[in-house]
This record gives sequence, structure tokens and C-alpha cells, in this order.
Amino acid sequence: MEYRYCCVDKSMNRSLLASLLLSAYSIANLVAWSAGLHLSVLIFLAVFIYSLVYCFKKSPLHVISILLISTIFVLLILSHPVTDWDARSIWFFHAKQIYYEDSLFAQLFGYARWSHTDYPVLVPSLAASLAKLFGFWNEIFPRASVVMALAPGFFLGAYVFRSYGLFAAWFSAVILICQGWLLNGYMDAIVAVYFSLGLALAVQANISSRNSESVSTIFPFLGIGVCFFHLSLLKNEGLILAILMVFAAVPAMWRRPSNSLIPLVLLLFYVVLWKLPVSLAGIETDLTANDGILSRGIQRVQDPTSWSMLIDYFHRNSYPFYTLFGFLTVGAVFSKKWQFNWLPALIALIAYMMVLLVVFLTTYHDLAWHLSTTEERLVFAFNLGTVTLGLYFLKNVGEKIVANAHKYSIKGVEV
Amino acid sequence: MKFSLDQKVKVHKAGALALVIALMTVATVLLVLLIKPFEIKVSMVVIGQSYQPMTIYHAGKIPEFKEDEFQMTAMAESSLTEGLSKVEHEAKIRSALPIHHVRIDPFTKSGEVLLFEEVKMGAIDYDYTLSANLLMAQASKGNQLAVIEANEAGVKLSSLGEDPHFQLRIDKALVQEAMWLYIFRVAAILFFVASMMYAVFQIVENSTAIGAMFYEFYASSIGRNATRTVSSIAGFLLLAFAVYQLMAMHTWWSVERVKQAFVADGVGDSVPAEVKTMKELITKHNVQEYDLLGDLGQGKHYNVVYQRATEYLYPVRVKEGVSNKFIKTEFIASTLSAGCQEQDRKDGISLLLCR
Repeated sequence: MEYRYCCVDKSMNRSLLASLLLSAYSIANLVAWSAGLHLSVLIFLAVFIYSLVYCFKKSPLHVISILLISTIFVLLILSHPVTDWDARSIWFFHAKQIYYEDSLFAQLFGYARWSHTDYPVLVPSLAASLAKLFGFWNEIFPRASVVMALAPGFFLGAYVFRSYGLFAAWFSAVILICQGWLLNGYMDAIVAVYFSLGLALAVQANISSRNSESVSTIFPFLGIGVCFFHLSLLKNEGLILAILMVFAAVPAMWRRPSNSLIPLVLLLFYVVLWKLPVSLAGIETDLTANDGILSRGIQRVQDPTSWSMLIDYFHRNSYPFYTLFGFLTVGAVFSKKWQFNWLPALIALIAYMMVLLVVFLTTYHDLAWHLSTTEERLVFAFNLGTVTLGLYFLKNVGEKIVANAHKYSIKGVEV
Repeated sequence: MKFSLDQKVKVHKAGALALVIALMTVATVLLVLLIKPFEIKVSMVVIGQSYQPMTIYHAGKIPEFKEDEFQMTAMAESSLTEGLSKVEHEAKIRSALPIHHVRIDPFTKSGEVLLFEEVKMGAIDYDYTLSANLLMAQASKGNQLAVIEANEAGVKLSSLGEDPHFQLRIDKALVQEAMWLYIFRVAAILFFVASMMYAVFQIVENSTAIGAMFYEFYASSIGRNATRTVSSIAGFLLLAFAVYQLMAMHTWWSVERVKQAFVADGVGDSVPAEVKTMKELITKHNVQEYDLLGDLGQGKHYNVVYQRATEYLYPVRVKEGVSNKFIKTEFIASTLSAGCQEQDRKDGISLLLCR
């Protein structure tokens, strides 16, 4: 008997659709705010609940997991006000400005420029819409918008991993790696979720591009589109991650150039909706606005103390994941089958760490201060990306065993 | 030697059973040890001749300090006169068991002198500052160090040996585990055990491939639903563990706090008292824009009060040169002679109207 994923497969494609619908809400909400309007959060809730029922009719564990965990996340968030620096002074302060000024571009009007007014506004726009639902602003409930930002990722994870066991393992990795950073109002954990899913989807697209049926690559590219949209509009660093994620899908785009339209369109959307207004307002990102980047970088490269701090930082925050990354890389380098599909994703991961290194070497802040205030959040993308690719590898191995299972039989044993 | 199919099945069943029992035991122990609901924060402001990295250890009711340690993170350092440096250190410690003692290792070499200006202990919503007397009493029982002086400025200690350290006893309020978390922890352990027993039952009944050593047997049995069931159970348990660990970081959670989340203008827990007072005065006098004078506005956005005021009082904006100004009441005298009138005052904050 040939093992088939038929019923599971259809519902998982539906979960991709759910992810697209929830992302469509976020896009429409952003566009509405740019015109001084907003979309009611009730629409989001309706799509969320309907998606759970529609997608996972035959998989109650998916429904229980996503619904229960979302509820727990919201309850935990509601238990105390936003206190952490970036969350309070950047993301949710921008949300407050959007709420009171009825404009997506409120933070560009010149008030409190020290609050990094160039930072993108996806989560602030969701928080402002949430506040409009209740009719007032406070220090607590708007932070529940991070769950709204994560929700498309939950459904996308179900699409990527298919079987519940692997989906739950991935979801567990997200929580165990990112922990409180998922809920405290910082964007780094959310960015890591979408980057890691994007890498797995890139690998899926590369594998599918060898399939003669053209429809098989459109699905992963739609997922990549969801990730690109979220990454570019969650935080500035997200755009770099989005570009690296698209790089990981180059083999698929090489074979099917039409698929590259999806990230291109979303890049255009990002530029027109956000980057252009920021540029017209004359606001620069703080890391590049300060002079002397090159001289600082050269000075730190020659300073052994700086290297000591950097090596300690990268070792302390990522060492458990280097072994898995090494295993995947060795496999990708020495296996012809893997090179095409997996190597670009692994290069994207290491490229991100290189970008971080350059940022730290050229920072205009004191390096020790910058590293201590950054903590482990900036390496979540690498850590979670490595684990996600590892789990996706397991999924592929399992599928191969299933596909070949009919070749094996034992006398007297019913299969 | 060829094994019959029956023998293979028996070996696989026994192997699978042993593996799952081992996993069950390890998972239960991990659940207790890896979930760390007890958290304290220790912060110190220390003045010395040079930057001093510090180490902190923690222990339970009996102060046996194990090797796990935490480096106290040094915050912004500001240099004072006479070649001294002021450093703020902070450490967050999480533990599976209640923390009753901490040990501070403040010195790196013999002969150094440090002034402990402030020592605070806290959890997320509760903290207390150790008085100079209390700190001196605890430090004087320390090892290889001496108390030179204790007054309003702080407690001055000097190192007398190669491993100077002292202990601090933690306030009782910081060591209590929330009852809901305790009950949940017991329930979670029971759930884990029950689930693992169900998994064992599934494996024994269906002789699935977990623990199988032979690829062909594994491949031929992969189609059985039991394997998917067991992997789903394993995934759910892992997810439950991950979520539970996240919940354990929120030991202060309560229904009353969640109710506060929907109070208009919320709870300004993260906002200094001065800013909350300003909010009341702004609302009472319908102030549209304000300026901050003296301590309140010194350093602009590098000043905590200025920052929090900018965020919390918005959409009422801070703007230099406007007629409504806030100042600490103790400094009001100089402003009154400059053409300002006091409109109102509350809790040490005055609202001025200046021409």
C-alpha cells in the first residue's frame, strides 16, 4: 500500500491560503492607515477563526495548538504593561502616534526624532487598529498586536512542515529559542520566525523547480512573498533578511524567472509605502547617518579587544547551533543533490552573521554597550533558521522513506 | 545467525519500550529542572578606581553555592572626579528552585576598595533597596574583605585576599512561587507521565518502528497510523513543555492584572511617579503643550523623565519655550522671579504659567 498524504496535503495548502489572507489584512490595514483609515481587527479575528476551522478540519491538534498558544500569548501579554526600551519608546510609541494622528506617517512629522522615526510600521499599524477597536490607548493591550503579526507565520509553519509532529517541533523551537522576546514587544523574534520559514520555503521552491509541473513552485513563492512582506515592514534589518531569503531561492528563480515577480512587487510596495515617505521626510537610519563608519570599522578590526568581545558574543549566543549548521553545510557542500537546493539557504544564514559582524564593527556606539544592550536577540534569525532547516531536512528524509516504502516488504507482515 | 521475524519483532518491542521509559524519565526530570519559574534581579551601583567585573552565584535555603555563575552586566559607566568610576551592574538569575541566597564576588584582586552606593533586589513588580546598615551587616560576615566605612553615601569595602566575597539573604517575598504555577507544574508532570504511558501502550500494541534497528522494517511499517500518532504525541508534549516554560517566566500573572489591561489610559507601571503626576495636572488644566525645567528636562531625551513624559503624555507634546512648564516644587523659587506663576502643584511637581 502506498502511503499518501492526500488529505493532509490539501489542508496544508489551505493553511498557505490562510497565511495569505491574514497577510492581506495587514497589507490592507497599512494602506488604509496611509489614507487615514484602518481595518477593523474584527475582520482579522474572523479570518483567523475561520482559517483554523477550514484548514485543519482533519487535524484537531493543529487547531488546539494554534488557538491555545495564541490565547496563552495574549493572556501573558495582558498581564503587564510594555516596559522594555525598544517596545515602549519605539514600536508602541509609534503605534500611539498613528492612533492619535490617524496617519501611518505620524512619526515622520518631526516629533521625538530620537525614537528612530525611520523604523517601519507593520506592528504599530496593527496596534493602532487594535486600539481603535477599544476606543482608547493604554500601556498594555496594544502589545497583543505581536500575536496578530505572528499569526500568518503559524499557518505558514503548518504549510511548510505538513505533519503535526514536525510542525509542533518547529513551533517548540520558536518558543524555546525566542522565549520572552516573542511577547515583549521587540520585533527580533517575529523577524526570525519569518526569515526561518522563508529559508525553508526557498529550499522547497528549489526542490520543486526541478518538477516539470509549473504550479508546484508558485505555492512556496507565495509563502516567500508572505515572509518578504513581513520582514521588510517589521524592522529595518528585516529588509536585509528578506533579500538574503530571496537569494536562497535563486536556483528556483533561475529556472522559473516569473516567480521573481512576487518579491519584486513586494519590494516596490515597501519602497512606495514606506521608504519613499521616510526619504522625503529627510530621515536617515542612525547606523548610517553618523560619519566615520569606515574609520571606526578599520580601527576595530585592528583592535584585539573588540574581536574578543565579538567572538564571545557570537559564541555565547549561538554555540548550540553551530554543530547542526556544520552538519547541514558539510552535506550541502559534498552532496551534488543538496548543493543546488540547500547551499544558497545556508549561505544566506552565514551571510547574515557576516552582516551582523560588520554592523558591530562599524557601530558608532561603544561596542561593549552595543553588545550588552543587544543581548541574544539579533542572532535569533541564525539560530532559528538553522533549526528550521534541520527540521525541514528531517521532513524531506521522512518523505523519501515513505515514497520508497513500497519497495520493502516482510513476509507475513501486513503493510 | 538468522533471526526469525518473531524474534525481530520482540527485540524491537523491547527496545522501543526501554527507549520510551528512558525518555519519560528524562522528560519528567527536565520538566522540573529546566523550567525556572523563580527569577530575581540584583542591581548595584558601585564606585571604584577602575571598572570591576563582578560575579554572582545563587543558592537555595542552605547556602551551598554551585559553580553556575552569572556575570553582572555593566551598564553605562560615568567617570567621576579623582580618577574614580561609577558603574551600574545588573544580573537576572532564574532558577528551578526558590532562590534564598546570593553570593557576590566583587573584587578581582587583593587591596582594591569599592564603594557600594546602592544595592537592590527585585522581581518584575517588586523590589527593595538594601539599607547601608543591612548591607554592612551582611558584608561584614563576608570572606577576605573588610568594611571600611558605612554612611549615607554607601558602604565601602576593601579586599583582603584572593577570593573575597559576601552573601546576601533574599527577602521572603521574592522566593514565593505563584500558587497557580505550582498547581500547573504538578498537573503538567502528571500529564507528561500519562501521555508517555499512552505512547508506550501504542508502541507495544502496534509494534511500530521507534527504536527499530532495521531500515526495511522501519520503512515497511511507516504507513501505520501508530507511528504518526506517537510522533504527534511527542510533538504535542514538546510544544506543551515549551509553552509551559514561557508561562513560568510570568509568575506575577493574575486575573486582576489582566482586568487592568482594559482600563482607559492603562496602568503606568513603567512610568516614573513625576510623569504620572504631570498627567493628572495636564488633564486637570487642559494643557496642550508643556516644557520641562530643571531636573525634569536636563539632558533632554537622555533623561528618563523627559523620555517617559514624551511617550506617556502624548498626544500632549513637550516643546521648548511654551508657556506651560513643569518643574520640581523644591526648585520653584528661581522661576517665580522670572515672570512665572504657579498654577498648581501635586506630589512635588509644580505646573507653571510663564509669560
